[in-house]
Amino acid sequence: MNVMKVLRKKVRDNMYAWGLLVALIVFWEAAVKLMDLPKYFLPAPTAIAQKIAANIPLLAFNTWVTLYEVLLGFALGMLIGIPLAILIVYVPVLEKSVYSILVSANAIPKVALAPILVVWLGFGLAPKLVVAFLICFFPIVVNTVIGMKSITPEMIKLAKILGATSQQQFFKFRLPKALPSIFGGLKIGVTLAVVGAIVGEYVAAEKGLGYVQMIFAGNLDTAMVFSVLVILSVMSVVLFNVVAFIETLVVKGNTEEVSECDTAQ
Amino acid sequence: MEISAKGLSCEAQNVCKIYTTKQGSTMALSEDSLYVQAGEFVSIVGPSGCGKTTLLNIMCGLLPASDGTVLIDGKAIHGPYTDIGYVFQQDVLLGWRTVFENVILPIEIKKLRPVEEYHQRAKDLLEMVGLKGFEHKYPGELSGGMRQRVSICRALLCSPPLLFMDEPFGALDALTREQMNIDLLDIWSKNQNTVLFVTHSIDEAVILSDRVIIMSNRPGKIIKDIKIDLPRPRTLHMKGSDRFVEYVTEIRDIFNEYGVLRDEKNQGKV
Repeated sequence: MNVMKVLRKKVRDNMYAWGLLVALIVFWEAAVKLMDLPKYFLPAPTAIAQKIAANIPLLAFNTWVTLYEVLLGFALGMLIGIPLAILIVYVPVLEKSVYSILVSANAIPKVALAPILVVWLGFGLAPKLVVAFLICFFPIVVNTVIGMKSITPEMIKLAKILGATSQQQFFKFRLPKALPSIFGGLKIGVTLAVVGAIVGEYVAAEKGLGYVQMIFAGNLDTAMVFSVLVILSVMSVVLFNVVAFIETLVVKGNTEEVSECDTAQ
Repeated sequence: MEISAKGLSCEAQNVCKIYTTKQGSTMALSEDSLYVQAGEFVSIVGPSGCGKTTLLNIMCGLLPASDGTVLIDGKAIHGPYTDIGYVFQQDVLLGWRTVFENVILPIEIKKLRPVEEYHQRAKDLLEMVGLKGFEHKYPGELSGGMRQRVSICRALLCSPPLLFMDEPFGALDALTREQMNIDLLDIWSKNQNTVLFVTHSIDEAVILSDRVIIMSNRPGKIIKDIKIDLPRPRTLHMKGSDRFVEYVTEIRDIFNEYGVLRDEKNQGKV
């Protein structure tokens, strides 16, 4: 019954959001029509929809290219970020050295590394993947470290008095306690990975949604630029929700104590 | 499965604990000795920071003593003694596990068999503390008193010969607390284990215990050991009896004498 309540509340909350969104689109359509804005300046939503419908094969191919870069970058971010964070928590020397540097390095605007990466890695998949990886790597590491450290001294005491081995301490106490925070990092990370891949494509590419945008922006085909933007937004939202859905499957119990560092990045 | 495991004796011999910090060393516990008989219910009362918890943790091996020996069932222990139920001031339930999964945590960690029997015991324990039907709830859905009951069930699952409780009811409201006291006595009478109970409530210590150990602070030192000669089973009603009031007054006077409690109205600023 509690679940139903939450679900109903969610639908109600989302109804307002959807309502506002529809209202904004209608307003946009009306504004373009009434003010008779030139198409290259601001295309109407219907024009964008038509554009998408007319270019499905092209958009689908390039969406796949970008999605592939995003997923690989994000996967790398997880595969390197989470184990590194665990090491940082268990090895004090690493925390004092690697982690401090990481936290400072987070201040570097990662997208600004893209031109350098192109010089080093060429025009192919590699530089996009690396930018996507770099940009999602930081929130994943930081949130995993915070989560892994959120175990309370009482929990450690409980584990000791129960005679838990260090392996059991990890799998039965530390890791489950950290999961909400880890997922917080993954949710931020996956949307940032999209940003990383696009920026990589802006700098140098011969395919992908960022590349398509650059080409059509050059031709003043603004409706096409908007079409790509719509697809990218949908991609981000879908990826975020996939991670959020996996979270509901993996994270059990009350989610009140979800980490407060979700917005830290 | 037999529910009652006989309690074990527990003894601290001349234990002391010194914490060394940059500012110097502080003696948290000084040369304390305490013998708790098998099956006895002993409370430790004292002001905050007097080393009650330190003594408790030393006596189960969670904390190494700076000097002295701890014997359980006559044998010296080194490191945590795991055949023990430990109840914390906070319930320390794992929020991602249901009530039932929290109670059976000890057998998962200790890999005890047969699982079915322990599962049945977990259900019985939950029923005993009035939590039948809550097995599949998560701790976040329960009240403070219910959560603490779950943590007591977890501590009792393996029928430990020793039950150590560190201000277990300190975070509960007064009424829930009285009820928990009675429930605890009921559980103890069925289990016959040795209980070492830390509290700063004089009432609670007297109504529960066979003996009340009184500690003063800086450094933590046992100053008195009072045998409580009230009949068992104890009831809340006894709190109105002359004997009960006498014990409480006696203990309060001791704290007064040691300056932990002060009655004089014209005392200077502390």
